[in-house]
Amino acid sequence: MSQSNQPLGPRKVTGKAVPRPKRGAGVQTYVPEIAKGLAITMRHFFQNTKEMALGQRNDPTIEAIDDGVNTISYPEQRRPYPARFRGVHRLTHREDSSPRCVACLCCSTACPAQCIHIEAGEYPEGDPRRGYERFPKRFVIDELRCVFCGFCVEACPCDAIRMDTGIHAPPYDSRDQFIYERDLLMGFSGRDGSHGTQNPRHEPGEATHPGIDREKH
Amino acid sequence: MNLDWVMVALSGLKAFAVVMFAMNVAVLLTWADRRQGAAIQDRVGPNRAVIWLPTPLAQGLAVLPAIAVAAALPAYVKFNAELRESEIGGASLVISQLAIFFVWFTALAIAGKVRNRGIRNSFDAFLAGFGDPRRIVYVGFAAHAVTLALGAFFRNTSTGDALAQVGVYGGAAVFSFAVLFGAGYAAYSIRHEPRVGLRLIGLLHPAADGLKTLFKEDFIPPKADRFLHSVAPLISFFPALVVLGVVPFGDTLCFGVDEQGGLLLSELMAFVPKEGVCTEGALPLGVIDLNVGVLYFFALAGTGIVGAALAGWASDNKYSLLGGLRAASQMVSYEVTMGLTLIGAFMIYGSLRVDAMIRWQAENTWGVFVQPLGFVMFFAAAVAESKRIPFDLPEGESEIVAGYYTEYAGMKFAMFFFAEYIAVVTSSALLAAIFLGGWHLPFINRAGLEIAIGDAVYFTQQLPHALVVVIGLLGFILKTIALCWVQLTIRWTLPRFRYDQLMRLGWRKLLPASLANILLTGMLILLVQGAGAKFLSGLEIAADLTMLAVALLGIYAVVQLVLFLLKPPRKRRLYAPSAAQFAAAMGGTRNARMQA
Amino acid sequence: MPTFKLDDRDIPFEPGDTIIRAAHRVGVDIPHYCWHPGLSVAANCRMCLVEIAPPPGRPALMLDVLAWDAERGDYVPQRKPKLQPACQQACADGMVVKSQTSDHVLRARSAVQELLLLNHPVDCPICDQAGECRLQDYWLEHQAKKKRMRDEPVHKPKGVVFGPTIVYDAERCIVCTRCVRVSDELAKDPVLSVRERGNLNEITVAPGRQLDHNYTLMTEYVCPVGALTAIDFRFKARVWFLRSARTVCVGCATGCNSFTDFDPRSQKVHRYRPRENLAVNKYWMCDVGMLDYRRIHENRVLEPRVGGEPTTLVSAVQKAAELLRRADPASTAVVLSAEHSQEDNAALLWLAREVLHVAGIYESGRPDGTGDNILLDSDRNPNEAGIFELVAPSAPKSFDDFLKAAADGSIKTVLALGSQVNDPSKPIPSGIELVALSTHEGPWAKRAKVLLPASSWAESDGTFVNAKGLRQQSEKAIEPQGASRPAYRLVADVAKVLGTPPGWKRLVDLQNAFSIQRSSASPAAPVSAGAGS
Repeated sequence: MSQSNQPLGPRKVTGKAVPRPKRGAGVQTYVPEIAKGLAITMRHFFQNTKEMALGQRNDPTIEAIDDGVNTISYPEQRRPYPARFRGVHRLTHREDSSPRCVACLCCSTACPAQCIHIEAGEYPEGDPRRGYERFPKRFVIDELRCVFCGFCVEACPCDAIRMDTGIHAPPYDSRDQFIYERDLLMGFSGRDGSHGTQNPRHEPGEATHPGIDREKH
Repeated sequence: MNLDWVMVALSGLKAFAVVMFAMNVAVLLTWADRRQGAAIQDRVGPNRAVIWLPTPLAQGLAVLPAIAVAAALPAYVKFNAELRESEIGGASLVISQLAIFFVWFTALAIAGKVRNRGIRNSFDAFLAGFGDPRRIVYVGFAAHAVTLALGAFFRNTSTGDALAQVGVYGGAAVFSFAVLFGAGYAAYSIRHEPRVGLRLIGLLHPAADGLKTLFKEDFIPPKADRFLHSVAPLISFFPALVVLGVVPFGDTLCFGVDEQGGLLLSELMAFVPKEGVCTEGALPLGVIDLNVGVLYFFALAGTGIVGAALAGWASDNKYSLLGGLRAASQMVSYEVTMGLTLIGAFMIYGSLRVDAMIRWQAENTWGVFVQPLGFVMFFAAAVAESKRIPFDLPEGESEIVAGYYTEYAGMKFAMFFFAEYIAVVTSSALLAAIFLGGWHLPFINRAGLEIAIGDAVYFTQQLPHALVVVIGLLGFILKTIALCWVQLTIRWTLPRFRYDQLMRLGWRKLLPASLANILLTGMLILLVQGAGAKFLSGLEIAADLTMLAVALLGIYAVVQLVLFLLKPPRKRRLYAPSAAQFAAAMGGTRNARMQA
Repeated sequence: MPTFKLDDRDIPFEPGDTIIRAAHRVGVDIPHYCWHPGLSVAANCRMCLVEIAPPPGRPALMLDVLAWDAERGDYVPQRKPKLQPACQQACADGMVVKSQTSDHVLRARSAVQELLLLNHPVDCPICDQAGECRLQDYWLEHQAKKKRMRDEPVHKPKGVVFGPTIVYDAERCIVCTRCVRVSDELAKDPVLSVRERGNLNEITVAPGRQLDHNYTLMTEYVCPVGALTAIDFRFKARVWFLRSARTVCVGCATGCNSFTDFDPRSQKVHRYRPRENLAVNKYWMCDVGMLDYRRIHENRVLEPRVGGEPTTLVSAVQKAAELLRRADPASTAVVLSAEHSQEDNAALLWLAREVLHVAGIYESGRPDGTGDNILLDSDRNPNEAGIFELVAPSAPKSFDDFLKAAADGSIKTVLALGSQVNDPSKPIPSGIELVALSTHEGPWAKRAKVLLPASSWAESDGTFVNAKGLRQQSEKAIEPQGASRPAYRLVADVAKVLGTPPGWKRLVDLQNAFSIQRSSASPAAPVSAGAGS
């Protein structure tokens, strides 16, 4: 403890007296101050409207201005999104364009908004993966509930769910339009237009399986 | 034509007009609130609604009216024999000024466009050679001044007559050319564009918004009271709307009445005496002239509370309930103040009828000068009644989601929203009528324009009756819209009160102050009644002086606006925050052309 | 009682106990895979190795080993004590055993854990055991290091169907042979065995056989990893979403103690797990009981019906009371149900005796099946003994008596609890006015004039008396399904309409009023699902 040399007992608080703000008659009666505030608002309004109408307005993002507000006119103007911008989810594909997802429910476990609903299904008779692997029969995300925290992406062991579409959840007319089903989620692509992933899954026995290849030994 | 039936038909028309006025202004306010609120933050605001026109259609829309206008003036000059003989001096003045105006305005518009999109052809280069487009304005103003001076200098001389001939024919030709050239240039410059967007500076947006709310999901919470939940928006919507019925929009319009009891429309263009109102064929420009007048407003404003409280209760949502309770208590509290602040005005005007109040103000001076305290307090109470910032605690999105309309969506939500804006319109109209002279404008009476201070008359100009009424009507609408705009500005400026502050303001500040206002007004009235003739005439002069002040203020405001528009842009100091640096590194904001 | 020292703690033991069993009894867990308190000792997983100090005056048995020295970058000769498997080492008085406190033990466990995971596919996302897997838990506790082997793991058969209930994944298997021992020792049907050696070994079914005895799900239950998975539970739910209620199996009169695992979000029961009770079922349950949970959701009566038409509960109760009020007590019968808990039956009995004053008390229940001599009883009703206890000193008349009385017309009105009858082949006569409180569709529900939907055993607390006369308390797991209500509540509603509100409101009052004693181990709130011992 750095303050061990202090005597025992409650610590003495020393502070600087802050003078109470002077509130003159103008402030007390409120009305003159309101008038001043209104005047400032109107000045900004006229100034900005005129400059906008006469085309004297700077690009507010690149040329931020000292007075006025650094606001851009979305959607006419858009800020470039950073690479790690989290947009609407997508489900990545395998080579055969089936979902990469194995319905492990890690994402729905990690989801703090509980917006992911998955029903697991078993592969049909004759499929080599039947018996031990599974796939999502239903994969539903309620984009209205989603808080876009990205935990689902972090939780996914297969890189099956991603938020790199660069799309906002668009405004819709009704709530059920925000319920994104599996096929819609698989329809989105990443910002580079691909449906794949940077971290492909390797089936056991394939030459690329990390058991052999990971450290190039 | 039976006069009674005409009057009945006209009453229906008036009611329709008032409703349309309130609703349209409310729609425009909804839009202006967001669009201009955005302008304060230096962005465009909602104007994305657009109707795409095929380029030929847009070109036609630009060129065809121009051809019509360009043809009309030379034709008028050519075929109007009267003009060629007697009135040529005046006509020359008007036509030449018009021509000069169109020339420089067209040039300015094109120059502005060129500056924004770059030089494309030799004409663009020629215009750009002027440098700052503002110079075109200065040149235009100089041309105006020169022609006016020439006209005045050579008045009633042979040179003057010759110049007048040149002014008329040359002016008409130049005017036609300027109009045609402007339209043709516009049509020419869009020839490569696949389509042209019709945006009406964003005015299509409110219409699109209204349409959108109709198609939104109509959500009723499962355990809500379905009937009350649906009926609550109506209850808050309609009282706000029908209040306008008692507010006269203009002076009583006097039709003449012929022997058969039919209307004489020609009387409308006649001059009428300064004093008195016609008894027959009178059309009051208010929907209904109730003798309870303003009390009707209070009664219906009180009904609006029920809608908010019902909505809060019927939604089966705790936030809604809290919002409904807040709305009920707030509106009941401010209802009291609102009534008491107006009592001073009643005492002075001696009537509850809004029409009588306006006539008192037209005769003496505006209410805001005899009841300044009442005006401010009534304004505050009216804003509080409309549940808008800074009194939007029933909504209180930072505390109770969206208050009493948390569980509303689509058109029902829009009706609450709309009711709010209609309340703005009605309270503004009432404020204008009670405190800002209603349809009365300084120095304009039923006979026409008369600038007089006390008994001294400086200028008189008789005006036709219909024109006076229309000017008054426009004045009233202008005042209403200006007050609406002030209310919007308040919304853009002030933060929300805390609930205890709201209640303290209502019960412990405004209420005692309004009682004191009543006391003060009573004493002043007694004072005036006991005063001598000299004091009274002094008062009259003071009243006229206030009107003069209003008139001068209006002129000053217009001059200031023009000067402001001509001011060069501010030099802005630039600095780059990290977001801007990143944006710059990424190639800037993806900039679609802004439709400001 | 003799004691030994385990990590500075004195552990009492009974003669013949192994270290792990004595520690397990007092709640000290020595990590283990292959040992199970209900099975014989195999000592093949080597996870429970402990260091045992030599007897006083004797030198410790030390081994020469080569240990890796990171500084020198070479192996150096070292000595370490010979570790013993705790599951096989019998206790001796005053013995000193080091488990957590011995570095050698910790290192050995880490090594064993690494060895077991060498060829593991680590496919936890698609493995149903994830969340209750020993490999996951022990990896975190004892290894917590990345895999060092970079070779392709050994590939073995996956998705081998062992029988109608079990699928086997040899890659996940650590060959602890728990399943083999369950088949051998519990089911007395040695159908499973181990083949091959070293890292190629796997479990196989005897040629020409399937894993189809009555305790196949116990093999899955004891499997500490995800090698054996139940076809019934596959891919249905992740265990960490499930909550458990302490219940009693109602599949037969044995009354095995069980956990009911349900998803609180969807209010759906997904499986049973055996709950240790040495007096009843030890550690086990039979397949019949394990799969009995399906009845909670299948074929249920979920809305009240009057004359076959769905209606509201209020009007159905009104209608039932009206029927009973009109009835002549002499020609009225009340049928108790051995399917239902003591509480439901006691409430019904109270209604019959105190309100309706009927003389004819009958009992019914599910038809008998075949039992084995292990756990499954031929009486498939959980509460037959309880009914006899309730009606004592007289005895309820049987279902055959009821049929006879109904056939000769001495019964006109019947108030019946339950869904099934003892003899489904004999139809219930159609001439009677029947008010049924049923959980499932069945003979009673089919014939009923007024049908009140009763909640199943998983939807309310209840007491069941098993064939040995043991009272056992079962907890509520899920909320009542559909419009159903616990039968005792329906009885109370009917009594209220009849003008005699019962003297009890809560279940506890009811239990006190009819002295339905709670079992000594009174369960508290539901506990979360965890691995078995």
